[in-house]
Amino acid sequence: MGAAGLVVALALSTAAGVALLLPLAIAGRGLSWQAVLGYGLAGGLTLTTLLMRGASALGLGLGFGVTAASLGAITAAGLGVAWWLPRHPVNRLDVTARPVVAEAGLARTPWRTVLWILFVGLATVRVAGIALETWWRPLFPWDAWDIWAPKTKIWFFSRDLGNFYGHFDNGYPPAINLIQLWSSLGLGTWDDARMNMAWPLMLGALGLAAYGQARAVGATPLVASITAWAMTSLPILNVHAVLAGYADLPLAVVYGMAAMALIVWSITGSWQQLVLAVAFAAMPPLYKIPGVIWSLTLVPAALVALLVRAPRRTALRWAVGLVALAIVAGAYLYARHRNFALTLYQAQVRPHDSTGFITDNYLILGNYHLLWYALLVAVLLCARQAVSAALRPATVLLATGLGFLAVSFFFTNSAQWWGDYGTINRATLHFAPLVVFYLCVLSRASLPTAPPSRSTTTLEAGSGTVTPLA
Amino acid sequence: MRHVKLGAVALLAAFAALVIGYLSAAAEGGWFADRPTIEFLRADAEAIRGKSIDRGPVRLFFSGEDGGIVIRFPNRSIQAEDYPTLRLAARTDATPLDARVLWRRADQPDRTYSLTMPWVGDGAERVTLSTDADWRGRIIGLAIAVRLPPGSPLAFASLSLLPDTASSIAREVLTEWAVAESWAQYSVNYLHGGSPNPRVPLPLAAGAIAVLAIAFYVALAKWRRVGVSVSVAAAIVLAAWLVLDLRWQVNLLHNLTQAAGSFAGKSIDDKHRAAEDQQIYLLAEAIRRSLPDGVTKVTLASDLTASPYFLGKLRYYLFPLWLHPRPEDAVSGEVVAVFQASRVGLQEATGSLQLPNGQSLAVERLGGTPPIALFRVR
Repeated sequence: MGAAGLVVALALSTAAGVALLLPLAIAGRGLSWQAVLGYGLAGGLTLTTLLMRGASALGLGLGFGVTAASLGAITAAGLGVAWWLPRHPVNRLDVTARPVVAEAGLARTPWRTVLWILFVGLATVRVAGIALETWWRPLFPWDAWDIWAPKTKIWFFSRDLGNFYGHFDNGYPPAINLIQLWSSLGLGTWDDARMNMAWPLMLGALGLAAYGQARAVGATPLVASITAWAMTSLPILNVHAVLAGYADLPLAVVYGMAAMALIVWSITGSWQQLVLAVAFAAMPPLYKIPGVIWSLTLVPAALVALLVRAPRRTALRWAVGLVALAIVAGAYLYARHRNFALTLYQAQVRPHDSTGFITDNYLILGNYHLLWYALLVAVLLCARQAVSAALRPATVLLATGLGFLAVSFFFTNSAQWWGDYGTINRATLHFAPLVVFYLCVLSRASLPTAPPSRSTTTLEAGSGTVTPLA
Repeated sequence: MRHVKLGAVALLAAFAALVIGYLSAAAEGGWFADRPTIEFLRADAEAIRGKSIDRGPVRLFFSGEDGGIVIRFPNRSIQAEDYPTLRLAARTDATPLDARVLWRRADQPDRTYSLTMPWVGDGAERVTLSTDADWRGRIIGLAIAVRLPPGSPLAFASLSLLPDTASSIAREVLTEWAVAESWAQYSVNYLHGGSPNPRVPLPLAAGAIAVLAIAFYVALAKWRRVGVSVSVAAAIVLAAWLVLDLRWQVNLLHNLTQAAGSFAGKSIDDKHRAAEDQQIYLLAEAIRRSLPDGVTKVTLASDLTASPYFLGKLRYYLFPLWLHPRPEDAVSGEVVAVFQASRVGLQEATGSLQLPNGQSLAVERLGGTPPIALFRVR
C-alpha cells in the first residue's frame, strides 16, 4: 500500500482516539481542540495496539483489515455519541466543571502575536524537520535494532504475536512493536525508516496537548505557545523522536499527558480532565516496565487533590492515615528485604555517589536546555505559590517523580549502567514533559492576580474558572 | 516597562560580569596579546611506538604487544609560557591505562618531561600545561604517550597548543559551541550540545547567565523598591533557553541535511546500502541471495561474530532468517556461511571444515559469492 497506506493507518488510529475524546470535549468544553487532537493521537495509537492484541488473542490474525475495521467502528461509535450527547439531558453532567479558557487573555497586542507566531513556528519547524528525518533515516540506535525491532520484524513476517524465535521473548511490553507493526501493515512492506513515523507524531501530539492544557489552566495563547515550544524543544526528547525505535518517548508522552490532565483537574475540577488522567495513567505500563512506577507516582498527587477538596478534619484524618500507611509499608519492606529487586533494578540502603553524573547530565551537557535551571529558579522564586492549595497536588506530583528518580539514582544498582549515561537520561526523559508543564502552571500562579471581572477569578483548587496569564 | 528595563539591565550586567570574570581567570596569555594557535594535524603525527594507518580524516595508531603508543610531532621552537593549554582531538575504544604529554626543553635537551593527561574519553582531551613547573623555557620536542590494551586503536585528528589569550579563548569557545553534533550511537543517551569536552559548556554558560541575571534583577527591584515580577525572571530564562534552542535547531538542520544527502528519495533497500553499516547490510543480502530455497537458519563462521554490533546488525538484517553464530553447534542438513574466518579451514580432500575449537565438520559446498563461502553440513 506504500506511503498512502501508512497515512491511512495512522489517520485511522488518530481518528479513533479523537472520536473517543470528542464526547468528553462536547460534554464540558473542558478540552480544547489542540488537547483533543494531541491526546487523541497518542491515545489512538495506544488503543490500536490493544486492538491488535485483542484480535490476535481471538484468533482473528494480524491483518490490516481487522484492526482497521475495529478502529473504524470505534470512530463511528465515538462520533455517534458526540452527535447524540448535545441532544440529550446527560449533557448536564458538566454543570459545575467548566473551565473557562481565558477569554480575557485573547486580547492580542502586535508583539504578542509576533511572539506567538515565533514559538508556534519554532515548534512546528522542529517537529516537521524531525518527521522528515525519521521518514528518511533507516533504523539507527542500538536497542532499536537489537532489542525492539527484531520482534516487530518477526511478527511482521510471521503474523504471529506468539512467535519469538525462541530468543526475543524478553518480557518487554509489546506496544511499540505493535505501533511499528501497524505502520508496516499500512505500508504493506518492511520499511524500518517509515514504520517509525509514529515517534515524531507523538512528539507533535505532546506539543499540541501541552498547548491545550496550558490554555485549560488559563494561560494566554502566547504562554501556551511557549509551553508547547519548550515541551518540543528538549533535545533528549527530540533525539528519541528522530532516532526512533525506543519505548522511552511514547512512555514520556503518555505519562506527560496523564500528569498534565491530573494537574489541570486538580486546578479546575473538570471531571473530563480526571477521566483523561485516569485513562492515560493506565498507558505507561503498556510501553515499558518502569511505566508501572511512573503511573504510581500519580497516586499521591491525586490523593492530595482529593484532600484539598475535603473538609479540614477529614483531610487531616486521611493525611495521618496515609502517612502512617506509608511508614508501615516502608518499614515492612525495609525489615523484610533490606535489598530488594524490581525487574533489573536492585534497591539498596547505602547510597551511590551519583551527584557528579546528575550534575553533568542535568546542568552541563546539552540534554535538557535550561529545564533544571528553570525549575531551580522557579521553586526559589515561587515557593509560596508552589505549596498553595491550588498547586499542592502538582507540587506533590513533581516531588514524587523527583523522589522516584532520586531513589533509582542513589539507592539502586542503576549506576552500573551509567557509563554511557543511558539509564539516567532515559529515566529522566519520561519525567521531563511534566516538569515543563509544572513550570507553566507555577509561573502562571505566581503572577499578580488581575482585578476580578466577569470572566476571571483567582486560581483556586477546583474553582472551575481560571485567571488568564497576561 | 520599568520591570523590562531592570530585567534588560540585569541580563546585560550578568553577561558582562561572567564574561569578564571568566576571561580574567582563564586568559593566562594576556587580554590583548595575539599569538596564533600551534596545531599539529594527522600528517604531522609520527608513530615512534606502535603502527599507524590513515583512515578518512584521522590517523589510526595501534598499540603494540606492550600496549604502548608514542606519537611524536615535528620539532618546533615553542616558548612554553606562551602556550598554557594543550588540546588533543583523539579517541580510543578502550580507556587508556595511562596517557601523558611528553616534551623536551632546549636547556636540557636529553631529558624528557611528562605530564599525565586526565582522559575524558569523548574525543577532545584538554590538559593544563601551565600548572606544571617543568613547562617553561623553550620547548624543542613534543610527543604524547598512551598505554592501551595490546592491539587497540587510537584515532588521532589533531593536537593544538593554545595561547589562551582573551581573543583566542573567545574564538575557541564560540567555535566549540558552533560545532554540529552528528548522530552517533551515544546520541540517544546524551548530547554534548556542541563540541565534546568544551572549554565552557554552553548550557552551563547560559544557565549561569540566566541565574545571575535573575539575582541581579531581584536585587535591582528591591533597591528600586518595586515588586519582583515573575514574568521578568521567566523572560530571562526563556531568552537563554531560546539561544540554546536556536543552536540546537541549526544542529538539527545540519543533521537533516546529512540525512537528506544520504537517504532522500531512495527505497529502503537503497537507504541501507547508503547507511553507515552498509557493509553488514550488503553481507546479509549476499548471504540471503546465496541460500538455497527453503533454508530458514544459517550458521555463521566468522572472526567478526565476537563483535556484538556486527552480530546484532547482521542478525537483524537477516530476519526472518535465523542467524546462529557458533559453527560448532551445526548439525546435519544445516547451512554454514564462512566469512572472514581466519581460524576456519577447508580440507578439500576430505570435504570438511576445520573449526577453531579443533572440531571438524563434514560439509558439501553450496557456493556463495566471495568473500562468502556456503556449505551444507553432511
